[in-house]
Amino acid sequence: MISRDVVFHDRYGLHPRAARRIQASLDGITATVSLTNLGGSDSTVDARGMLALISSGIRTGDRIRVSADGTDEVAALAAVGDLIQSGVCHPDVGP
Amino acid sequence: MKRLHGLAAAPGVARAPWVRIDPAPAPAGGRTTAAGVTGEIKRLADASAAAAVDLESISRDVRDDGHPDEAAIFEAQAAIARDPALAAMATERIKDAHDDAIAAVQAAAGAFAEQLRSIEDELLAARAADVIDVGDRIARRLAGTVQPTVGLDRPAIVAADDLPPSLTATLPRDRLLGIALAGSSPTAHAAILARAYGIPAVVGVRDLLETLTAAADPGGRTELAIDGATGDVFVDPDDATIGRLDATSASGRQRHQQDLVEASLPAITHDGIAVSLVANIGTPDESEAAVALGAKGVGLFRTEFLFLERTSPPSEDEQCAAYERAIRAFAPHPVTIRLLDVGGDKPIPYLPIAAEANPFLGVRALRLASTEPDLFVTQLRACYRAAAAGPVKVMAPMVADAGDVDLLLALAERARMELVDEDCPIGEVALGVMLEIPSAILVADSYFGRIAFASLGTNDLAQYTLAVDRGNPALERYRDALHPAVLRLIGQAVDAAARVGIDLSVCGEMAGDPAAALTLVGLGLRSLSMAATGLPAVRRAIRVSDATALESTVRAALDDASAQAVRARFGALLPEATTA
Repeated sequence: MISRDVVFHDRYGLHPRAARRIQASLDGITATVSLTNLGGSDSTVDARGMLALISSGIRTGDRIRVSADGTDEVAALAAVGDLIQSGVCHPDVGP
Repeated sequence: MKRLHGLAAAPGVARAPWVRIDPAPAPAGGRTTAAGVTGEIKRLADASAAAAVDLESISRDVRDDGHPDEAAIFEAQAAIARDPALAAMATERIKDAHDDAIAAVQAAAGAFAEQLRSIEDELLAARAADVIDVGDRIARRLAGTVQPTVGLDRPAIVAADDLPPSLTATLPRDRLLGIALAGSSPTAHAAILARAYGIPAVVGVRDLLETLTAAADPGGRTELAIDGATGDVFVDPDDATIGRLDATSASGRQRHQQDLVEASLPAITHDGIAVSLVANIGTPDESEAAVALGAKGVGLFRTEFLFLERTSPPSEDEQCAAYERAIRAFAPHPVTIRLLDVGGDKPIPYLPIAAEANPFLGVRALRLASTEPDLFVTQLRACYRAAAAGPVKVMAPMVADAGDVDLLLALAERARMELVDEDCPIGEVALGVMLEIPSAILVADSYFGRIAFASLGTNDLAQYTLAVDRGNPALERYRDALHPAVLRLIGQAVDAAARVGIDLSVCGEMAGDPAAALTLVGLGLRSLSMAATGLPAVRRAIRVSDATALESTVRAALDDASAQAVRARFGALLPEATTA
């Protein structure tokens, strides 16, 4: 298993559309992937679980550990990690 | 006529008879028996898959209409319908409690929605509505019923308690003139869809349905009028209101033409006080439109566009070219460049900022200069070089006290001396600070003598003075920068600037709000910088005002108990044209 720490940068937090994009970024990947919120709750959720993702309460600025396990874990980590780092749906470009 | 007030959710004016929509209640669940468990589980799986297909079809329709972002709402709902976690929880209910599939899926969706509502974030908590919407859709599939699509037989404003997103997306848009909701919020998906479709909407209108019921006549000819920019709702509007609202909607295009004609008029009060109106811009591309609307320079040039969403910092040459474009567009008027304003809340891959619990109280903006001085020296070098093309002012954000001013001056001097040593052509740069932290105003006398100008960033000033997170919708009551506490601080800044004779301006959203702009003029401000679209209304408001009267109104307003009271005072001074 490998992991990578990133900062969650969608300014609206982990909302349903962002969750769907995270889920979709793993299409064709078989590794199991999870997100752990290192900020507050320390809770871990399945990166493919829509309801788990949106119930996680992850907000912009939260530090997230992305963990992947499987033959294509490197690709999984890159896909989810880069997406989260780049702001998912709404890159946080404030005033 | 009865006037109600809600929250502005999608701009525009609509006036028409209303149609009340009461979304059909979800079917009631029941019980099954031990023998029925397997069958119910199968039915649930089939209905969930069918609901997902429905939602994907709505998503395609919305996308084909040219709204890909909004289409993603329904793609996400489809993914929720397909989530094995929802099926697993519902299956458990069927097996353990002998719920039938309908009761089970409603219980499961309800449980997830409850979990969402407990999140301490209004935006995320509001998404509980999506999960309930999905659960209801699956339940309807199970019951063999459908949410009846709303067929409007004539153009109308839809009035409802709330509209689930999927129903909003399927309303007949050729006849949907407006949306008025008793519940919901401007961040709900119904409001997002209304904005995307350009349909005026007002939400959170208390007593809406009761008032409509009381006003209804048998023929259904009573009209409803809504102004989605102000949140005003008029039931059975009188002729004067109708005239005013019609003028607002009909004159939109004419207004813009008039704005362009009036752009050359000076912003001068009846009693001869001239106010300099300048623009806030986020990229050089906005220069042309701002000049057309009469901006006499730039009071805030945000430079983050150069730094965000890239993997390495912009070069000095790239920055210089961007600044020169704006400087040439506004010459001979000055362009005020704000140094990089970022913190832990904005992603900059090449600038590692440690995660912070409170990024707005953390290492942001100028505070980064102690660890990343080169980033700022490069930006200042670009400013000095660009200044060869026309007048430039540079201001530092997030200045708390004299020590920060020393830092700014040292960085600027380093940049300037480097360029002089390199024989690189440079121009004059006026150095100043943004006043957005209350401490910077309270101790202004300790450093104002060493800078050329200061600019009030009223958005952050209000946030830091009133301890109000700018992004938290639960704190709406505190959002208005016309709060007497903020006005008193601004008054102190005006006095401090006058004592040493430096220029003071305002570059927050406040300056673009006509009532607030008059307040600022009354406080003694003579330079206002705003989004260019705000210039015409503020110019008109100033041209019909009397500075002496504004000053006396401000003196009274400083003792008001609330921002609302201040707003009422100055709102009453606005010309009809800017309030309509």
